[in-house]
Amino acid sequence: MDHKHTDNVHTDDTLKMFFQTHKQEVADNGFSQKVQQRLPHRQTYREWIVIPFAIMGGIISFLYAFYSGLFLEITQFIQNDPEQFMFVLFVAPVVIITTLLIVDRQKAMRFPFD
Amino acid sequence: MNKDKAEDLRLITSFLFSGDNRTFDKLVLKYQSPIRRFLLNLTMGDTALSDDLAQETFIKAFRHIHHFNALSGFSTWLFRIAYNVFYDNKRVEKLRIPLESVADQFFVENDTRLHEKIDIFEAVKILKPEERAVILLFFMEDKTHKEIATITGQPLGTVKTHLLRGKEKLSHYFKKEGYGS
Repeated sequence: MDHKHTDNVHTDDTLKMFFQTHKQEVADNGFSQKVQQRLPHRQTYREWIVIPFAIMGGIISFLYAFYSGLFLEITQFIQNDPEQFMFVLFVAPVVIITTLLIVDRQKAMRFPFD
Repeated sequence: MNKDKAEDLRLITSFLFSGDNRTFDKLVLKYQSPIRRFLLNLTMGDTALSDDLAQETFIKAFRHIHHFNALSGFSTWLFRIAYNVFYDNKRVEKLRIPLESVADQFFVENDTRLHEKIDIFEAVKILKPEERAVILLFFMEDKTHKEIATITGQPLGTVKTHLLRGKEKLSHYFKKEGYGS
C-alpha cells in the first residue's frame, strides 16, 4: 500500500512538473482587439441622463398632483370604495411586473444582435 | 471569496450596469491567455483554429453574460463555454492534425522551444479527447475535480475516472520516453 501510494505521488509530481514546465503563456498580440471589433454594441437602458430626467419628471408630477387637487380626489376615492382601491393596489403591480418580466425574457431570447 | 473572484464579479457587475464594452475587454485581457492555451492544447497546436475558437468563446460569454449566476467562478464558467465551443466545432469538422503540420506551425528559426512543444502535443495525443481535457484542466489550468465536473458537464466520478486513466497512460508514456526518471 505504501509503495503504491509513493508511486502515485511520484506520478502526480512528474505530471505536474511536466505540464507546468510546458505551460504556455500566450501573448495578446491583438487578440483582445479582434474580439472587441466583433462584439455587438450592447444596448443599455441605464444611460446616466435618464436619472436626472426621471427625478425632474417625478417632482413635476408630484407638484401638479398636489396643486390640482388630485391627492384630494384620490383620498375621497379610497374612502368611498376601499375594496376597489385595495384590489388596484395589490393586483395591478403583480400584473405589471409579470408582464414586464415576460417581455424582458422574450427580448433576451431573441438575441437581436445575431 | 478570494480576491480574484471578487475582482471578476466587480467587473461583471460594472459591465452589466454600464453596458460599456471596455469593461468586458478587461475580462478578455485577463482570461485570453488561459483560454487560448487550453484550446491550443486541445487542438494539439492548431493556433489558427484555437484562436478562432477562443474568439467565439468570448463572444458567447459576452452574449450570455446575463446568465452568469456566480454559483461557480467566472473562470469556470468561461472554461465551460470554451469546452463546449471546442466540442461543437469537433462535431462539424474532423480534427486530424498530423505531427508534421504541428511542427510547421511552430517552426521558428533557432526556436529552442520547438522540442518542448512537440513533446506536449505528442504526450496529450495519446489520450482520448475527454481524458485530454480533464488532464489539461487538472495539471495545467489547476482546476479542482469539482470545477472540472462543472466545466465538462460530467459527473464527478467520471472526471476522476478520466483523470486516473489519463495519468496511467501518461505515466507509461513518460517511462517509455525516459522523462522524470
